[in-house]
Amino acid sequence: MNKVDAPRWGHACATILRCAASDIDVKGPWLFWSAPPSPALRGSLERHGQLVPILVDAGGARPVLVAGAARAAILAELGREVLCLDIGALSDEARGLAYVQSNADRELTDGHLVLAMRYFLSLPGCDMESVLEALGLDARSKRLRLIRSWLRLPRRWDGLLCSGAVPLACADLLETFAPEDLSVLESLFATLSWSRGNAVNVLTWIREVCARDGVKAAAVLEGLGETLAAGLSPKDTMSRITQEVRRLRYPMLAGMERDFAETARKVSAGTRWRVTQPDLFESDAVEVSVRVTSAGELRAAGAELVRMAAREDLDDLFPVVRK
Amino acid sequence: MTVLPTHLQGISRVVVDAAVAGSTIAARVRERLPHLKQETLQEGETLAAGLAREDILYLKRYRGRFLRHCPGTSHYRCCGYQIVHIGENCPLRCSYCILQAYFQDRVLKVWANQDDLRLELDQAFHASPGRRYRVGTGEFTDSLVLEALTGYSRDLIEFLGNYPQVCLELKSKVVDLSWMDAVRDPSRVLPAWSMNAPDIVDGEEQGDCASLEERLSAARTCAQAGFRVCLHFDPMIHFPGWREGYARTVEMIFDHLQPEQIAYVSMGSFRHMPDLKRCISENFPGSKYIYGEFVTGLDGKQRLLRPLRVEQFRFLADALRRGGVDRQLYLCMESDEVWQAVLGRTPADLGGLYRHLMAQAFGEEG
Repeated sequence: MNKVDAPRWGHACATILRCAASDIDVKGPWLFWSAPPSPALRGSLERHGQLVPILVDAGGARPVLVAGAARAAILAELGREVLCLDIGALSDEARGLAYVQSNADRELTDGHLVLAMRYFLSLPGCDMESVLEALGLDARSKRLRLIRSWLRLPRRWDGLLCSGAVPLACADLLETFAPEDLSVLESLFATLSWSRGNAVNVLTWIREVCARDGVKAAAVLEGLGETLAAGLSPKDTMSRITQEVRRLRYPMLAGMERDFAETARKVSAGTRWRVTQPDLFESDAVEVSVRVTSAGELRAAGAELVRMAAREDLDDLFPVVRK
Repeated sequence: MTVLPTHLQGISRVVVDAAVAGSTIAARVRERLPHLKQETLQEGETLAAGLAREDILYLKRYRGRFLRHCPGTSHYRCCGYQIVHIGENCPLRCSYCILQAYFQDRVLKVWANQDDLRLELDQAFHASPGRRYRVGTGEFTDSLVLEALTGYSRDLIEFLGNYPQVCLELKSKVVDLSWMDAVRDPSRVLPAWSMNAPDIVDGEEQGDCASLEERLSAARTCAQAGFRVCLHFDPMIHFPGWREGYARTVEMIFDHLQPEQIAYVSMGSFRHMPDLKRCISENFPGSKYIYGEFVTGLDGKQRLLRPLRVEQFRFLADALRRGGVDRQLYLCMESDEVWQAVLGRTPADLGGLYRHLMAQAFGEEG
């Protein structure tokens, strides 16, 4: 029995065949999600053999791989013949769609979608409606809008997206930077994986400092070189960069916050009270809070508060009033 | 044929609801734009939503409320002004304009069912005998920008002449004084112009707005005719050179007006919902003031960091006070803390901002 269901884009009858792995052309650009084979797949193929055929177009001089790159690579290494399903002569668009469908149970990341979209958009006359449907993308979705923005970035940024170093949410922001600025910004993401919120904030602030001061990103990042080279943990490095860029974007606010924090520390030193400014100095309010778990702690906190209230430097907690 | 002001010459399409096709407004627009055929929308038909075009004039049968309260926000002091809603949008192109983000489209809309407006206003003004009203039309549009086409303000002035308990403010950035001879009592109409630093007027008010000189000359004309005028520094913009800029504007004000000719002067700092910042950066990429130190205020809007606003307000207030304007000064949407820091008083000290401005509008305070 060598007859199988025909896919809707291919020949009426697909056929099973065997060939040497080395005979198969595995260089097709539609294999856009190819990644090094997993050890689990390698183990399975070694122990149990190939249970699922790879997809090929066997109409030419040598079979062309349509899907199944990982299996083809392992079997080539093992020197085994490859079980292939010949799905017939296909256009590049159909090969890409077949590749997507053969990965239908894969959860598509933003990186996957960008790689796929780059491929399909490079094909003249490609029916993008079918592509979007195959990729599960709504034509009016924010995700697709961001992907389209991302596609305007240099292709080398795809690696940073796929590795999770840069979230797709940054696409709109990144595309507003000039090419030379983008090159500089890569250093922020080369070794650090940013959360969505932090990445968006940092890029927004950098862009706004550039726009405000009429400078290039390199000038903004100049002072960050030491932080990047300081050997801090990735988390601490990102935290430090975020703080430093925010200080450049909001110099007066950052100064007020720093002064307030210093005063609050001084005023509450040796007590269990926490002194904070709750609303970015929009009001004169200062919040003083304490957490107690017994009547004794409450009495002690009360005494501490009385001592705090007797200090002569309390006016420093109200900087705007003072000015 | 009268030549239209430049800011109206770009109108290329006129759409009218069938219900108001026979209205006075529609007839005037036909007469003043004779080269444009009016397209009629039958009952149930709507103009396509989301049109980003300010070259369409839509004469609409408005079904909402014509008399409204100003959409002030919580936590800050609102002046209590009431809006007579005559239309939406504006053909001028001010980079900071909230209308860019406030409405879904840029179509110039005029509520042409004036009989409904008059009926609603008449009912409202009769509902509370003895109550006074300070109303204006310059919230969702410029009060006078379409006047040359519609004559709306003139109609409103004639109508409100029957209601001495109402004071009407006409807030604008253009000069159109065609309504003046319809005024029965100049004490019940307050012509008002937006003021800003010259660099902001030149760089950020990009439509065919009148120059500062033209606005103040028009204000002087009104003052000489017995009107008291209002000046609005809103939004004040924080930019390099703001001190020199606002100082120059204050000088110009006192070159044209005596303090007693000014009913009130508002000061408001540029503030915005996040969406407006996006609109400005897309529509006016050269506008850098949006990258100032804005923080989220108590009402959720972005506001300039308080010490920076207080510094600007104080500078302007001091300059105006030196020229003799003091009791007329008020802050738009600010907290008591800012009032105290800038003016040394709070609205409560004035008996409440609403009452104070009502008295100013009706000429009861010096």
